[in-house]
Amino acid sequence: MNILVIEDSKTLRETLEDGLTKMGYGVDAVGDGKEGLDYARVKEYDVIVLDLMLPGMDGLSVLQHLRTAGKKTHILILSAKDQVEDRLRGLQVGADDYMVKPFSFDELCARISALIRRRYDSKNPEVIIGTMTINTALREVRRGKTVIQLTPGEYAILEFLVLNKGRVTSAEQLLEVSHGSDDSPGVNVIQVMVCNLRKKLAAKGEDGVVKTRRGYGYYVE
Amino acid sequence: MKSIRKYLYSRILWGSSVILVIGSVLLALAIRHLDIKEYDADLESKARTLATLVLREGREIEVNFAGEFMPEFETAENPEYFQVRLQDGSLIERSDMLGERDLPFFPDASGMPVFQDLQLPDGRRGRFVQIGFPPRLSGPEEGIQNEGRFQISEPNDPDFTFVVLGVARSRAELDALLMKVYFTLAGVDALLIGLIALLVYQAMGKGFRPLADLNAQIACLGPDTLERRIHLADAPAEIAALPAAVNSFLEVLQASFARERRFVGDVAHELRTPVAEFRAACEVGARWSEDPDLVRRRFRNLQESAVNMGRMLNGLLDLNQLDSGAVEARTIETRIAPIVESCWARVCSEGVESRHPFHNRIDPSLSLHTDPVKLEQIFFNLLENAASYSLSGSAVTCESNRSSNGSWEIFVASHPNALEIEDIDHIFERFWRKDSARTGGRHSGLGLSIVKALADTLGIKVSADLTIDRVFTLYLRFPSP
Repeated sequence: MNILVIEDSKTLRETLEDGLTKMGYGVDAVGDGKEGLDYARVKEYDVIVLDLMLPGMDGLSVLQHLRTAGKKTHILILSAKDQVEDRLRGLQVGADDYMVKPFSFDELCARISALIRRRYDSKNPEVIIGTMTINTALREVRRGKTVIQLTPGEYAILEFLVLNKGRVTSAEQLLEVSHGSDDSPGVNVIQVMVCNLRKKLAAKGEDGVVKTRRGYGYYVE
Repeated sequence: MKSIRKYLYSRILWGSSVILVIGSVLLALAIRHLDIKEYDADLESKARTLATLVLREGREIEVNFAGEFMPEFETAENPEYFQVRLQDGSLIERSDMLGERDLPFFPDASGMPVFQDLQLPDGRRGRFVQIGFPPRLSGPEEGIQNEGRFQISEPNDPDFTFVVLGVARSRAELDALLMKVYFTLAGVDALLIGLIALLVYQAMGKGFRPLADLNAQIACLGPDTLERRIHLADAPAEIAALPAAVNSFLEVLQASFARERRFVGDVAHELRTPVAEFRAACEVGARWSEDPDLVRRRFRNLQESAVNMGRMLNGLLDLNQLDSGAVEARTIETRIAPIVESCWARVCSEGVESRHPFHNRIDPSLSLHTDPVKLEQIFFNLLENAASYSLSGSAVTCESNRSSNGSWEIFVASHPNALEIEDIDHIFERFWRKDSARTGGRHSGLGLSIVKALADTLGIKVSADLTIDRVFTLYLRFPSP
């Protein structure tokens, strides 16, 4: 899952980038409105976390430009502006959610997760694949009562494949999902991560969940 | 609660009533005096008339009061009384209705009449007069009858015989008249007091209407209705200045409230982001505490946030002190050029974007009587502002000029990267920043506000200007020496 953070506070931006990456999201973080708009235009994100008061271009303008351009990416406004009219304006222009600073990181993650579910048209945070249950809210994989321990990257790959069930996803796409645009280590990492994921699932009796379509990518049936 | 209207109303009413009552009492006393005087005169006149009927012939005195001509002394109902005596008190004659009783007798009285209130023998209130007179000598045709003669005793010399006549009659008529006067005066007083009360009430109501209107309008004022203004149609001269003064005060108050609200809002807003930074850093650091690199990064972020927040709080505290007037200027003779040089060095050393050529064109000999500490803060803020918001590589210039009246002007010129002419009116506002992003790290938008406040403390006029060729100049005009 890819998230774009557009936040001018360097400290907050870096914290969100660290935290969301640790949660298993692919995160791009920029501190300028124009730069953020450019990122959002050229790359498909699941959620954009958008500050309103930004240098270069304010958050509402970024939002308007994206909506005018037909971008349907879910956008969560994260702003210090707490007035009802500010929230209304943000939601009216096309934001999907609005959070006021200071905020709880856990709540932010929960809202991002909810927006991702909405994006994939799934209101239920639990997705069942065979005997395996994936809770996208808790970011947890279970088989029966047994929790299958995955790294954030492995979980991100599994969640993306499950939410896009039946569709083949390339290793490059999965790389973006798990690592974002920056510091990408190369698609080989995805092969290793998928291999590890398969081993962990198989160890718990879930063999053959992640399938390969040679030359194209990976998918879940 | 005390009411001026009620106070004036009661005082005027009481005052008028007391004056009216005192006037009426005095009038009543005067009327009584006159009535009694008139009554007494009538009584005396009657006594004098009776006196003419007392005749003397030698040693004999006759009182010729014929009952048929003076029935008032004979009637059983409401009779009048008389008593004739010699000066030594010897009774000559008295009215039959007195029986054996006597009227008062004043032997020492001279010929002047003596009046007295008394209780008549029949119990009524009466008025008594005593007169003394020598009895009239009987004429040739007035022979003294044998009946009713009084023989003067031997020692009295008939030539010096003096007779005392006392007449008493009821004063019911007089009392009734006086009572009528009293009641009439009391009635008039009550009527006048009522009229005065009505007129005063109406006058007060009309006179105090503007005040009541003013009071009602002021009562409606509150923190949420400061936009209202006082409007008084036909305001009386006594309070003519009040609405304008209140309105002027309201405008100041409204502006002050708006400024305070904006300021509190700005402060709250400015604090939200650093608090969000703290909270997010703490939560993320605590959640992945096993990752030392992440924790280290978060602590570094926290330190930066704390430094920036501390800078903003220091700015706010400076402004608060300057606003409260608690800061005093400690002026000494101060050389300006070294201060400017030192400030630019600080700006560069504190990591502010400093790739700007700096020209210190202050007259090296310029020395002003001012507070060097505050002036240094002013220059530091001006130069830091210029360095932070100027086009990369553009020059920052500090220069001094002397005006014709001998006062000095120092200005800092730079080439801003984004400032517009309409921004000039806002640059001294607190938390104002050209960039809509308000989380500008080390910049909280207080620097130029502090410059303005410090300049005010030092009596320096500060202004700004942006020329067509985009040279932004901040002027400091020092007071004349």
